[in-house]
Amino acid sequence: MTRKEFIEKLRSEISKLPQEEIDAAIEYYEEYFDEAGKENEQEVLEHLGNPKKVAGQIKSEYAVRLFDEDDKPTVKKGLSAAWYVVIGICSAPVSIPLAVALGALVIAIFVALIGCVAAVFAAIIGCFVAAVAFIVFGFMAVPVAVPTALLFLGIGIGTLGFMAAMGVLLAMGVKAGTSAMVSAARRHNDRRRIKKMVDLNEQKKWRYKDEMTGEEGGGKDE
Amino acid sequence: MGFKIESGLLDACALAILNGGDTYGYEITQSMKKAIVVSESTLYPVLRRLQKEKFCKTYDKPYQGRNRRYYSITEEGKKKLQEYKVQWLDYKNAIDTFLDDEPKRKVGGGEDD
Repeated sequence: MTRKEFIEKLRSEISKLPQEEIDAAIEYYEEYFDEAGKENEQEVLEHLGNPKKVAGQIKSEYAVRLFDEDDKPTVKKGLSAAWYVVIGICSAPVSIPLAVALGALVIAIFVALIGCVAAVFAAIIGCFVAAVAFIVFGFMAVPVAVPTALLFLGIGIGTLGFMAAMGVLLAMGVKAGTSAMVSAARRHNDRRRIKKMVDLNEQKKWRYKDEMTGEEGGGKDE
Repeated sequence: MGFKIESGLLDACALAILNGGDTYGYEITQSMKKAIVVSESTLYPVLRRLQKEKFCKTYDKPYQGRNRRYYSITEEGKKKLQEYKVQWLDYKNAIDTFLDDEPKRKVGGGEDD
């Protein structure tokens, strides 16, 4: 291997770093060869070893620095947060009425559902009262007309039984419905939380990738 | 040789060399190689890190028709070097409690009878 080959191999190995990093490393090693002198070129090449290894040292130092900076809040992150606030404020005339309308719709559907359930409940209670009345009338009718009394009692007891069954069914339905709603909400919440977590990781990965391939050193200010 | 020199120690050594006066990459590598076993490619990442952390700065000076990049320790670098020196003494003393021929094992505690 010659000096030229070494430098070219090194350049291609670190080609994904920001230009500033590539230039600094190449300049350093060009100078290193110059300092050693033409007569020591082979010796220096031997000592430096595989350009891949040399590139690995450069890349890992850069990666450590990048992740250290990741821990500190960067200008970039602060800026994007500020942008969200600005966008939020600017879209308020549209987004707030929209949100209000959506909320109202959800509440309306919910109230209607509760209304339906309440109506069925009321119907059951009404039938219950009617059944009790039938039974009472039935008993009252016993001294007057036994067949009528029996008919009334029969209708009353039959309705009572039917309504009790309906009541139980309705109660079960409501219970199942609410628990389904609660668990759906919880699931949705969980999913959102996980998604947020994954997104954050994804963002980190993209940020890293961005800066690894960024043309101008990706806004890494000193 | 026996012990692997970790990057903090290399930073400290490089800062110490720079504290003796401005110098350039090749010379720093050579002076390090005189005392410790380091590969010739080890120093570049060290210098780059020190530079990015503002412990040293660089300037170019023409030399025989080309540029020579000099590294120069900053005030922050001098402060850091003092820190490293204290840390190194602590570290050395701690290890000496085991390795010293005339053990002054007061520090280490844990003495058996």
